[in-house]
Parts: sequence; C-alpha cells; structure tokens
Amino acid sequence: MCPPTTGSPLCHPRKNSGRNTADTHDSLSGSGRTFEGLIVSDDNLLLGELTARLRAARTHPPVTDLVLAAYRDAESLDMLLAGGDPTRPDRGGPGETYDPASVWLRSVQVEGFRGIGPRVTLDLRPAPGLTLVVGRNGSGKSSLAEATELVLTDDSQRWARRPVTFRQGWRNLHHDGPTGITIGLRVDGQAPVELGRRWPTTATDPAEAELTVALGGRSRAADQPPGWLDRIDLYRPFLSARDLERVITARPAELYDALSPILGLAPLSAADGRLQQRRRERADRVQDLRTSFTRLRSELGELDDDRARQALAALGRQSARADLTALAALVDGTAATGDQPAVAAARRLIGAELPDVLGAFDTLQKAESEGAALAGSDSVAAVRTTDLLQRALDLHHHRGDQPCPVCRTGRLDSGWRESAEAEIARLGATAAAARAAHDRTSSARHTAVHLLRAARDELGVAVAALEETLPTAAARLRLALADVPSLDHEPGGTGELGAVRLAWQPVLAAYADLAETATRWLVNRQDRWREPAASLRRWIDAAGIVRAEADALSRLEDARTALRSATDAIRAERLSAFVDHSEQIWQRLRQESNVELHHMRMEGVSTQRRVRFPVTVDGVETNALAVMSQGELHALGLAVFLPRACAPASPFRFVVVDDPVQSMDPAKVDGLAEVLGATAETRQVIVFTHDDRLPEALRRLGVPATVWEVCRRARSVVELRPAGDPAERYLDDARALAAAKELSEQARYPVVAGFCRSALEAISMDLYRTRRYAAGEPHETVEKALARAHTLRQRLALGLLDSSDRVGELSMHLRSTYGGWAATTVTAAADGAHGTARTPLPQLVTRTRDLVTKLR
Amino acid sequence: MSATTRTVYLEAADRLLHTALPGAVGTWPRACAWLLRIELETALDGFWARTCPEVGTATRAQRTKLLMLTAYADPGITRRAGYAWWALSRAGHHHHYELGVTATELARLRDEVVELIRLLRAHE
Repeated sequence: MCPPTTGSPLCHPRKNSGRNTADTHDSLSGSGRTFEGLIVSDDNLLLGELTARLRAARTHPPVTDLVLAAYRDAESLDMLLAGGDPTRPDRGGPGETYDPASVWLRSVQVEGFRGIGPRVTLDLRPAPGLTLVVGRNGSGKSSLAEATELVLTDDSQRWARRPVTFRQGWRNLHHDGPTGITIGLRVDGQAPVELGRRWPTTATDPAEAELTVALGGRSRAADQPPGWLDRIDLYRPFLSARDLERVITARPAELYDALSPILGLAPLSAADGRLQQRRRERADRVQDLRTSFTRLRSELGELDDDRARQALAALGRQSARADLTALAALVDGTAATGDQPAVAAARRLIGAELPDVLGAFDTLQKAESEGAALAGSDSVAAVRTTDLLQRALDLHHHRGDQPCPVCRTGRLDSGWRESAEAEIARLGATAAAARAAHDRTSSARHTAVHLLRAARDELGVAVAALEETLPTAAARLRLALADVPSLDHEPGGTGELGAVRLAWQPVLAAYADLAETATRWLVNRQDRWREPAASLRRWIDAAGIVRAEADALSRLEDARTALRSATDAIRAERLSAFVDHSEQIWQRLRQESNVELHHMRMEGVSTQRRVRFPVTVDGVETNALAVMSQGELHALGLAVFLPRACAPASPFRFVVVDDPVQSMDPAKVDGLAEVLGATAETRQVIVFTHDDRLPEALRRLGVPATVWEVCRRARSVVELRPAGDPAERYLDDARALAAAKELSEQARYPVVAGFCRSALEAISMDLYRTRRYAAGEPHETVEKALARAHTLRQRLALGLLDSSDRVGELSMHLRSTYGGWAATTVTAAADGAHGTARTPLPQLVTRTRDLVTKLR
Repeated sequence: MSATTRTVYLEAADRLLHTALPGAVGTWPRACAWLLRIELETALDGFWARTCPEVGTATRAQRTKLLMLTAYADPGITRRAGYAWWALSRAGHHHHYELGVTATELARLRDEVVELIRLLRAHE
C-alpha cells in the first residue's frame, strides 16, 4: 500500500484557510493550458494561431492559401500550385495527431539489477503529488531510478557508452537469479500497462534484454509498445545529474533540438519544408536559366554569325528581359538576318537551272549554216529566174506567141508557157525554203541573245549578292562575265558566235565553282547554327517555364516569409511561456545566487541554432556557463529541463528526478523543495535523493510529500519503508504541543485538536485516493470528489464508505468496525478544533494515533 | 522595517553582514544567523503580546510558539516563520560535515526576517 501523500491542511480555528488541492487539478481539465500558461501542442490550436497570425499580418490571400495548403500536406500544396482551388485545412497533417494519453507511474519492481539483489517493489500512487525516495549513497535508490529510465527509454545504447565499470556493474553481484525490471504504468481511461525487461542469467550486456509488454495484465508482442512511448525522448521525464549537465556539455544545436519539440511547432517546420522544397525547385530553375544565359551569351559571342549577333541582341543583358519571340524566330530560321540576301542568292544559285545558253548557241549556229547553204546556190537564182519568167509570161500574155527576146532563138508559145509556169512553181518552193531558213536563223539568234542576257543577269545578281560573302568565287564569275562579248539581234561579223561561246566557257566554270562554294557555305552556315539553335531552343523552353512560374515563385517566397514570421511570433510566444516557467524555477532555485537569468532565448536557424542563457552577475551581463558553480549549473539544468519534462503536451504525467541536491548549496534546497512542491501540484514527481535536507525542507515548508526510506543490508537486500507521511507529521506536531504544559490547555486544545483532525483527514483522503486509483478511476474525478468533502466527517465517509454523502452512517461504521472509542475520538477532534474540549488532551492525541494506525 | 526602527540585533547582524569586523573572522556567519533568529523571536514575542499574551509569557519553547501560530496567523506566515526559524537555527548551530551559511544566503534570510516582522506587525 502506498503511504499517504497530501495531508489535509490544518484547519484554522477561526477561518477555513485550507488550500483546496482540487483547485490545481481543475485547471488541468481546461483544455490547452495549465497553470504555467504553456500551450498544448494541439494542431487545431496551432492552425488557429497560424491563421490568426497571417490575418493579423494582412497577408495577401493567395499567399495565405499557399501557407495553409503547405500546412495541410504536400498534395494540397502541389494541387494549389498546379492551379487547383485552395482547400483550407481543417486540421493539421496526419502525422501530428497525438494520442492524448496521460501516463502515470504505478510501480517499479527491480530484481538483480545494479545495487538491488532480491526483488524490491516501489509502489507509487499514479496521481499528482510528490514522492521522495531517500537513502544513503549506495542504498540502491539510484538503481531504482536507473531501472525506471532504462525500461522506459530503451537507451541501452547510451548505457553501452558508459564507463566499463558501469557496464560490469549493471548486474547485481549478490543475486543468483535472473535480472528483471517491471514498470507498472497507469494510463487514464485505459488498461494498466506493464513494461518489462528481463535478462537471462547468462547475459553480460545490458542490451541483451528480453522486452515484455502487458496491457491489462495480458502480455502482448514486445514490438508493439504503446504509441505514447515514442515520445519519451521528446520530453524525457527523467532528470539526473547527467541530464542536467547537458546544459553545459551539449552542443548549442543539441540543446536547441532538445528543447524545440516541446514548443510543438513541428507542423510549422514541416510546412516550411514543403514550401522550401517547391521554392527551391523553382529558384533552381531560375538560377539554371541565368547560368545557361551567361553560357549562351559567351557561346554566341564567339560565333561570327549574324544570327548569333541577333540572338545576343534579343537575349539582352538580363535573362528575365530576353525577347523570346525574336529568339524563337532565329531558331526557326524565320528571322530577317543580314545575310538573308546572300542566303537567298546562294539557294537560288544552287536550286535554279541556269538558262541553256550553249544549247541556244548550237541552235543558232545550225540555223545560220543552213541559211548560208541555201543563200549560196539556188535560192537567189530561183527568185531572179522566177522574176524573169514571170515578166516573159506577162509579155506573152500581152503580145502572144513571139520569138524569145532574150535568146532570140527560142520561141514564146503555149508550149513554152506551160513549161515556164511549171518552172515558176518549182522555183517558188525553193525560194520559200530559203525564206524559212532565214526566219529560223533570226529566231535562234533572238533566243540566244535572250538567254545569254538572262543568264548574265541572273549570274550578275548572284555575284552581287554573294560578292561579300564568297568574294573569291564571286569575283571570278564577275570577271568571266565581263569577258563575254555582247550578242545582238542583228547578226554580227563572222566568228561572232564563236567568240561568245568561247567566252561563255569560263563563265560556266566560275558558275559551277560559285555554286559549289555557295553550297558548302550554306551547309556550313546551317551546321554552325545547329548547336546554338538547339541550345537556344532549350533556353527558350526553360525561360518559358520560368516565366510561367514567376508568379508562383514569388508567391512561394512570400509564403515562406509570412510563415516564418508567423512561426517566429508563435515560437516567441510559446517559448516565453516556457521561459517564464524556467525563470520561475530559476528564481526559486537561485536563492542567494547573484546570477540572474534573463530571457533564455532560442536563436538562429539550421546550423546556427542555439539556446542562449543571457545572465547578469551582480547586474553585469556575462556568459552563464562561465560564471556558474556546479550547483548553479545543476539548478539551471533543472530550470531548463523541468519545464520540458512537464510540458502540457507530454503524455507523461510523471517526472523522475535523481539526486537533484547534489552539489547544491544548503539554501537552494528549500528553493528546490518549493519548485518540486509546485510541480507536484499537477505532476507525479518522484525524487531520489541521498540527502535528508530535502525531506526536512519539504517538511518545514509544509510541502506535502510521501517519503520512502531505502536502506540496503548486506548482500544487496534493499528495503523500502514509508517515512514521514503527513498524518505522522501532524501527530508529531500534536504530540509536541500537547506536551507543552507550561501553556494553558485551553490555549493549546484547539490547535492540538486541529492537528489531530488534520491527521485523520490526511489518512482518510489517502485511503480514498489509493482505493479509487487502484480501481482505475481518473485522478480528476477522484480529486473532484475530495474537493467536495470539506469536513472531517465527510472526508472520513469518503475514505471509509466511498461517499461523502454517507456521512450519516459514519458513526455506526466506526463503532462497529473499531469500537466506540473511534467514534468518540473523531467527535473530539472535530469539536476540539473549534474549542470544545471533550477528551483530555493527551488522550485525544494517543487515540488519534491509534485510530490512524487502525485506519492505515 | 525602516532603518530608524532597526533593533540592536538587526543592526548588529547587518554590520556583521556588510563589514569585515576584526575578531569576527570565520565566526560572523553563525553570529549573524544567531542575531537574526533573536530578531525573529522578538518579533514573534511582540506578536503574541498583542494577539494572545498567554502564549508569549507561558513558554520559552519556540517550537510550541511556532505551532501555536497555526491557530492565530495565516498559514503563509506560519510556514515562512517556521522555515526561517529552522534555517537560522540550523545556521547558528554547529554541524559536522556541513559548510557554514554563505553571505548571500544570510542576506536572503535577513530580508525574509525583515519581511516576516512586517507581516507579523501588520497582522490583525
């Protein structure tokens, strides 16, 4: 059975000034806040704060949408960035839902571990309150603390790094049986949990343990521990000297990381991570574009090409201002470049057929030679003969038959007439043939002249267009063309055509050369542009994406800025609650220290993050760690880590403190007692100490506490016995005052009776608590029932009969269970406190003590 | 408590606390604690003389008087007076293996005594 913890306060004879223990618990039931003013890391609360902060900062709505989408999850953010509708998150991300368990320590059972031999069980009441386990060094109390920590934190890895002497000593030397630790835990509203660790007798390493998990007395797979156990490292409800020294030994970033989870801002950093990832993707694209812009510029600068020059001009000096349309035209080849006439001329030169000048020359030559053949013989004579015969026929027609006036021997008669007319017909055909030949020659010349002119013109244009680009080949053609004599429509002298034909041959050769050169040039020009054009094409595409994303990028940047400033504000607010708590603790612990702690700060981001403890010594600012004594640093450690261990969001309602008094000045002990007492109002605080100053200070300060004494006999037999429970303390005071006979009994009576009454109240409240907690009732309802019971009788009824309403049955119950004296004693104590002396004072004290013993 | 109304004990305690007196080397903390305890007891006696003279005159045992305070003063005063008296007694007595009280600790206890005197006087 647990010894009693919280004593009922001694009622004042004149007014009830008892502290109502339930008040402090009530403040816990209000969701989200405790008396420290810390904010529970509840996601809805966080989302609400974030939304409010964004609104207060007049954040642009699209930016707010981005922040909230990022807060929700990656998909929402991507959908929004892809142009989807903003979906406002109604709650935080799925990974951030916490099992709102409240976990209390019920028992610690240790066997064969460290300084403990045969099995020892420390029973604890799973409720707020202070439990002290006091024992001399080596009594085995630290073994209990370490056993608890080992089972719950599973950090045998850390243990493995500890000194070899420790590793050798983890198993008790005097114990032959197995080594095992079982931690009993109470989880509000759930079945009790037992976590255990057993080592076979052959085990040599603490890591060789077999894990056991039991829920409601039924064991379950060891790899399925309760979900809340994961968070034990987040809040570390264990404070040993080693932990406290982390304020000095830990690197600044480590300390930051150790403290930051309790602020519950993980969803905000997750959101920032999402925004940052997407911002970086886009910013990287912008950067890549700039880099390739510079590279492209230098590549283009090296090209002696008009397209490159134009591309450079279109690119400009800033990638953001580049003329993408002009660049696309350059890539597609549709842009008007300076060498465009040359390109056109070259293409034409290569593609188009040159007029068949030589063919025309051949035709002309043939026609001319045919014409010449006809002219030399029959044709002229035929015309003259026909003319002569025609005149003779006219003569014959007019004068009739007569002798031939030409030869004077022949005769012009009808016979002659017939033959003359036949001769005229024959000669007419010959003349027509001669005329046709003449016509053909004329036509061929015309064609030849025309074609030659066309070819000259065409080549001349090509020469003019290409003269700059392909000077050698063009000049050669120009010269060749200049050497070609002109050909007229009227036939020139003999040999004219031959000269032209001769002069045309070099033209053709120069033409072929120019065409080939132009082809090479065109291919070369094409090749030269292929790569830059491809680079440009890629750059234009990338630039298109970047420009399309520019709005999103700037919104992402705004979103990050907005989120960061909201986060900073929320962190500052939450941290200040936390820091206030730390400073309250420090204020109490420092006592006579001249070191003052001012606004512990969490600063910086990423690798620069750290926790700063700005302190002043006698008003002069300095570095905390340099000026503090060991004891002060431990106190600082407690001030820093106790708020974390008691963070409202933590499922762990207990905190185990191992030897906090070590190297602490005597006067800090009372400060520590105050701090522990205040913490125990809402938390189950278990303190292991070797120093009896702490229980003494608690007693003097009236801080209710359950005290266990640990002593270790030979061969590691460790014994636990309750010491100095509140009822015992009240009885002690009652005894002392009852014996002060120099003071009149009338004056002492109400005070002594008050102490007796308090002793009885303490024991009955304790009985009720122990029984209800064992039945699994949540501590809030237990404390509410206690708060409703104000009088001694009501409290006794609660303790003995389970209900303060059954106060009428109390006397009968006392009489029948313990005897009439019990009922009389209760009446005497109750009335005596109000000044009515019913029983002699010494008898009241002894009977009260007897009743307390019976009740217990 | 203002400076003009300081009693001889408190004045002596303050001198020990702030000045290095020849002859008090090493012993001054204990002496100072003792003087402060007398100062507190005097204030308690004054309280009893006003509130319930019987308690003040009947006994010299401080524990009895402190226990009786439960019935006559606020729990806060009772607790603080009890603690201050215990701390001063502890500092004023010799303890093996325990270091003496420090100057700053004494200064704090001194302020606590002064505050208690004020509270006891203000108490109805």
